[in-house]
Amino acid sequence: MHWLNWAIVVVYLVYVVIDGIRLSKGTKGIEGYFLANRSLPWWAVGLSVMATQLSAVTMIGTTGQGATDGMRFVQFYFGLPLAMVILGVTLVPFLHGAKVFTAYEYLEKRFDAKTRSLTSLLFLVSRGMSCGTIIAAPAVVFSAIFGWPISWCVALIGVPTVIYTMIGGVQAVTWADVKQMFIIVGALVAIVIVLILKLPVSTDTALRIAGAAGRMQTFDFSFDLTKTYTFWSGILGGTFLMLSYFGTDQSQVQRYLTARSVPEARSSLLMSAYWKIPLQALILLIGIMVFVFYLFQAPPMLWNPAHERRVRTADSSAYNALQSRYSEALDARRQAALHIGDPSSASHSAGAPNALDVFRATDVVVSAVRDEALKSAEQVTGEPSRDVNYIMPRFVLEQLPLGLAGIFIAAVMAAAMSSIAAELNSLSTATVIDFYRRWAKPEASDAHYLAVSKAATGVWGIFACVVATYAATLGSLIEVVNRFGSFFYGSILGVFILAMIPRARAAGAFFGMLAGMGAVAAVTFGIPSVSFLWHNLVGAVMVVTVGLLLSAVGGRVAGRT
Amino acid sequence: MSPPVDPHVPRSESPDAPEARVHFRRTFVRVMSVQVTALVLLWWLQLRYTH
Repeated sequence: MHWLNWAIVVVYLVYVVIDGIRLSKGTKGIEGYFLANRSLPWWAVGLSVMATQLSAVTMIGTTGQGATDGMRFVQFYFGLPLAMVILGVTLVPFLHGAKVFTAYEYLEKRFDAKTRSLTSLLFLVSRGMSCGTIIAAPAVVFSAIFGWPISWCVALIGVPTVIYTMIGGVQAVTWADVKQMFIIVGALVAIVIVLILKLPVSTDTALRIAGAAGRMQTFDFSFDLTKTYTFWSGILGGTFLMLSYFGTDQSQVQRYLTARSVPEARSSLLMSAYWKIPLQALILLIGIMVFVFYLFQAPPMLWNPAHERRVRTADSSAYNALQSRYSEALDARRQAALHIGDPSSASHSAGAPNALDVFRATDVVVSAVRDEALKSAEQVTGEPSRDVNYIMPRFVLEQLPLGLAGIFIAAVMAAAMSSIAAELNSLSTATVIDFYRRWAKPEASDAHYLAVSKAATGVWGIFACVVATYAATLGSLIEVVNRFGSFFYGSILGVFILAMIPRARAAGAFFGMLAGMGAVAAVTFGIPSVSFLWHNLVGAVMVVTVGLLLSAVGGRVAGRT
Repeated sequence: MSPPVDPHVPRSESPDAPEARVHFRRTFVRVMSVQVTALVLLWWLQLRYTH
């Protein structure tokens, strides 16, 4: 990469750290460190909520998914606006009004200490591991692209984030998120402009070609519980997933607890309700435009340069044979794509095959050859290829003008850092408030808790960096933890729903939560098989049903005695 | 007999107040309008470009 691009990345990293340290001067006491003394304006909180959700995976993986799978993924977010409105009138006033530091603290006020401790512990385990995977995702891509050791890439992203989060607390996290959000959106808009200018066909023709390749297919109305992305799973399952995430996950709850008032907290969530679907559609559309761009410019057979080198070295003659078949298929596809945009083409004459049909046939051949290359990459390396994650970085580094590539790399880092910072801050909050202050040292000075909070942020940061460094070798373990995490997301939502029902009792909530987790475990392992977007709905409904039944039985028994 | 209300349960800020209901209804209509517009636009893109 050109030195100017690196200079942009370095300036960005130094600025984020210095700004975080500058903001820390106003932070005194844990109320300021964790909640900014509940003083932040709605728009800053709203941008922080959006930045926290936008991770590096969104910038790299979702654009790649747009290139290979099209617009389908946007259905995942169809339930988000409704979830935000529901939260605005239910959990937000309860949690903000309760003046708590963590969402789980509220559960002790409502039920008992064991329900609080269990939910908080589940949050710490799953978020601690997921924080590592959030750093690992861009680090693995940077390592393959730039040829650096993975530990360097982890340090490049992790160390500045840990420093500004540890020193500055939630003030630094939120205001860094605001700036990072502007960098991310600016980089995305700049890429759209470059793509439009670089395409050899009009935008309309580009979209027609993308449509012919199935990339513009957004809606799938089939009601199939085993399919992940359908209209119904997005609207119904997605609503419960978003309710769980924004309503009960401390990394999100803590964002809106920093708002000045309940109306401002509501407004901050509504920002996501308005902008999330258009933003995700834009990100997927960028991927689609990149797909069209590489119809006219030969793309690599394997996008991951490290895998490409290893496959070529393992059996160069087989690789070269596959490469020449790939080049022939690409040529045929390019000619077919050009005919779609050329009204004077022979294929438009009567009796000739339709240009779109010809294009589709050639696209199938290209995909088949690439699938063979991906299989051989997986056999040679023994790793899942995840080739889709390398499409956008390679496009950016090889095609964008000088300076813009640096801005994109800075934007990917910004996306990763904003998510990691929010998670570290919330992990520290749950550790100190739900465990240290609750069980270990209930009475101490504010200065003591502040020092412990900063230390906890640092320890969680180091833990996340270690997990990220060994993410490749810990692959299956991390997957198990992430899967385990999905067991209780909807169940915790169920407990919070119970908390708002006056007749619900502590025992009902605790055992209801265990029943909910059991039900989600059953559907996760296929008894019956249900796609993950439905898991939160299953968990929440089970918790509420069992919780209310047990509360009713417990109430009668108590009434008799 | 109705169960006792837990004193620790914080009440949401006057959920039954008429102005709260009006505010919610207005917000709900706004958010859903934007949502429906976005979905119609995506539907139109699909119809126009998917053959």
